[in-house]
Amino acid sequence: MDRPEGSGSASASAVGDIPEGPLVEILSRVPGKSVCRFECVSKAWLGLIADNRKKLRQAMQGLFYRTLEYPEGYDITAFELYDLEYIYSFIDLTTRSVPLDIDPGFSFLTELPEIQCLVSRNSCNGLILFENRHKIYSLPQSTLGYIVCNPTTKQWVAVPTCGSTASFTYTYLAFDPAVSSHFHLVHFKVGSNDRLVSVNIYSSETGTWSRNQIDEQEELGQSEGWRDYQVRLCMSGGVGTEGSRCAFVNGFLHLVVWDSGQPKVLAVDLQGKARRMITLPQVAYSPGCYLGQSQGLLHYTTQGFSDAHQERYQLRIWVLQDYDTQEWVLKDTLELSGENCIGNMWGFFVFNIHQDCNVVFFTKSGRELMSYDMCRKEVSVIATFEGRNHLTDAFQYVPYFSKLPALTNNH
Amino acid sequence: MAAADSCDGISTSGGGWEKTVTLVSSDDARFEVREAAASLSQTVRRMIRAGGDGGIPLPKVDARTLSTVLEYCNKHAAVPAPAPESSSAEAAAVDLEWFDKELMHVDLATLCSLIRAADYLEVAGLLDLTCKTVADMIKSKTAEEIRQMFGIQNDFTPEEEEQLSRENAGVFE
Repeated sequence: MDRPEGSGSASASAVGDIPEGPLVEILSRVPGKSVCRFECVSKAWLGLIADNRKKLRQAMQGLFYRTLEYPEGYDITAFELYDLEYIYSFIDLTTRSVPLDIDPGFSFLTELPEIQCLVSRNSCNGLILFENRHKIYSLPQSTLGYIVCNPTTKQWVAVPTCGSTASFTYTYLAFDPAVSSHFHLVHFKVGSNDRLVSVNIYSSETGTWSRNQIDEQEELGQSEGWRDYQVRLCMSGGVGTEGSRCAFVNGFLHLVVWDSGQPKVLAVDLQGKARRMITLPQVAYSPGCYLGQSQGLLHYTTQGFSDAHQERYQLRIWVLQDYDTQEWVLKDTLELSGENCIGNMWGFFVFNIHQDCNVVFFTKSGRELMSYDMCRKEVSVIATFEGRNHLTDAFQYVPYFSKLPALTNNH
Repeated sequence: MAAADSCDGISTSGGGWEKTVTLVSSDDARFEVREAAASLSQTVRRMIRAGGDGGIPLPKVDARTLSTVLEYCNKHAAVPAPAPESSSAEAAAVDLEWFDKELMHVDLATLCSLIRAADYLEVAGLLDLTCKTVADMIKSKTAEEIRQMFGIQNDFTPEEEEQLSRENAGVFE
């Protein structure tokens, strides 16, 4: 521990003199970006942070992205005939001189015999959820199971499917190491009209899927928030992205749903109970809406025309400043026509929002991975895709250094 | 403090109500505390088991800090354990939360003394509370502000510091 020198009286020197254990406790409660900044405080702090990185939160280091190469003469009406394959890559967004030790293509998973098509679903506090599918596109959905992995430790575990996969299902990963070393999968199944028919929860602690929580809560007379609300999952049409986007904040999984003809944000707890319905700002829905988490707050983006002639359009970024009063604040607006020249609005799609910074990541028509920095008001191209290669997803890499007992397989 | 609720007929030294122990601070102040409250400190609990007369010496904690620690222990040990989902349990939880918040309205030097005391006395709840409070205070600060707050000397050379901040800058701010 660093001790201040020459600061005189005992009471003055006492301020900085926090024992190492409690100091690590304090540092484990600040965001990853703050930890990073505090490495510069002193040599003692730098050493302490390096020695305890398993306990401390980490800043976002880069993006994994997913591309799809369409074969020549690809016929979208006959999509089931093609054996398409996603390719994963990585972009380092740090300024470190030492490259990150990353397997950008997840070869530690793709080389396993049981893996057929690896479809990324979401990443949450260092872990990534993949769906293992027979084919990328097929009807009905051909889910073989799920893989939860930690790209930092290259640990992973397979999770079986939840019952039949005969209809459309959407599965999300929820993990917060500050609360539990176990992860949960929240699994929604939709029927006709995208109407929700079941919610099941997988807990890595018990290793089992729960019963359908909608039935369970109806039996207990506690179905509030489910069929009463006529919830339908909204499909945000994006480049190869399926289902509503989700954000894990305050211990609840949040996703955009339809409720009585209005888009709203539904908060689901890890027992599968609907806990809260959050209204969205007026005029807030657009086909490519995105919901995510940045700096601990829910963020929502929409795109829409900004003039009566429908010639100009813009991206609006909203933040839920106060979770309890449900007060959304318009954080920033980006003109998408004119000088930024993003191209056709319908090809524009937000993939992610930086967990530590005011930056959104998006694509135009799957040909470029771009960022918009709200502080610098700057649009940048991070990567471009040539030929038949198309960008279909981008998700954050946040290192998590601890080995988790829940991830039973080691590479 | 309501002390009448949990006496199991143990021999007492505090007037027949409840068993108490005497804690002695580094500056020789004596505090008579209910054993249930003092036992929130694992360190004190071990010393009670070990026995001895004339009070339990706590040479690393001064009277001012110890009195705040004991205020915390008295409050937290006083809460009975009702059925977990009853309304009185909820009210007690809200009351405790409010008490904790009020207790944390102190300056950084006092907080640091409390952290050292909670660490030494092994009062897990208080250590968690104080660490969380300090974390909230520092999370938005720069490295230089942290040095000033805690009186830490910058022992990096300008070159080392420049390289560190360059490596830690990230592509985005």
